[in-house]
Amino acid sequence: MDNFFDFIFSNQVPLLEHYILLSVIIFSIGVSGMLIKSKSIINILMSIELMLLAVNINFIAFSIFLSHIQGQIFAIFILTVAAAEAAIGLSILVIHFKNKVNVDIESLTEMKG
Amino acid sequence: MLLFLFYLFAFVIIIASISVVVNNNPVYSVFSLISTFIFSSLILFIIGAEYIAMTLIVVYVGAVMVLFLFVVTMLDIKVEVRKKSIFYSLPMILFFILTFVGIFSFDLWNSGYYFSKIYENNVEKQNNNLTNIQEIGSLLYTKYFLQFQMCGFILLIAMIGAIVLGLFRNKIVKRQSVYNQISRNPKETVTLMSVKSGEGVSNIGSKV
Repeated sequence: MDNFFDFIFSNQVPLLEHYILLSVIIFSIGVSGMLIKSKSIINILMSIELMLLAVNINFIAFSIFLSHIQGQIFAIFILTVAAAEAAIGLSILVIHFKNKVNVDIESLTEMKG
Repeated sequence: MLLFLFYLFAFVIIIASISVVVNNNPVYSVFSLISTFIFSSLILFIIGAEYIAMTLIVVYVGAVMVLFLFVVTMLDIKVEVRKKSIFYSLPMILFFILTFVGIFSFDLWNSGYYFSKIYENNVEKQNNNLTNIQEIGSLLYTKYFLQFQMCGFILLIAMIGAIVLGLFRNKIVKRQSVYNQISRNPKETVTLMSVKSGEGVSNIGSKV
């Protein structure tokens, strides 16, 4: 217990490796969320947002640890593009599923070859 | 203390992102994604990027996640069990995770804190005590001005696209009206006619 309190109040800071590993874990969770046979397309869109969050954390961590601000500027651009893509993806989803009533992915067979 | 906070927030982030993927209820899944974003914003506060952290909360959680919630409540996504289990595509997922995480972990932990040595030697630190937003603004409006304007253009095009997709309904897009399909009366749709063999039906609209 004393070792635990020593760890809490010690002056260690997170290193770049911690942020890279966290970004890799979040990205792989996002990819596996996309590869799972999900119930609806909203799960896929949320997995895309998770992957973009992982890339954002990676860019910002590198920018802070290497003292270049360009990483955070690019993270702002990624944020913009992610918001625009989420808006258009969700509007396509809404207008497609106004015609059909169910949201299953298994019933999307119009383009089946 | 910062490292302990980092471990705590990273633990919550991993559990919340697994819950995004695994949860059956889509509303719970969106809430888990919101908490993932908020805790990752806290992790960015630890490291000193306070403007990006607040932007993440205001823009991502405040706008994009609210949009997700609108769509999830508007579409009738039922809380059902999945038809195929989560472990249906397990070999593909395991292959990706093991290669990706494995390569990164092997590279990080076996090369003796390689990046820490890079950033101790290679840094041109200017001790001018600018805040995060001052540093971003000094480059965003001068050197990357074209890219900044293009971001605004991207948002304009996204807005036009979303409005066009939501607006034109009646004449251009062919829709199904499920109410009209279900409320058909079988007595009015099928008529029974007596036809002599060899002859056709000439007056279709008449009832016999």
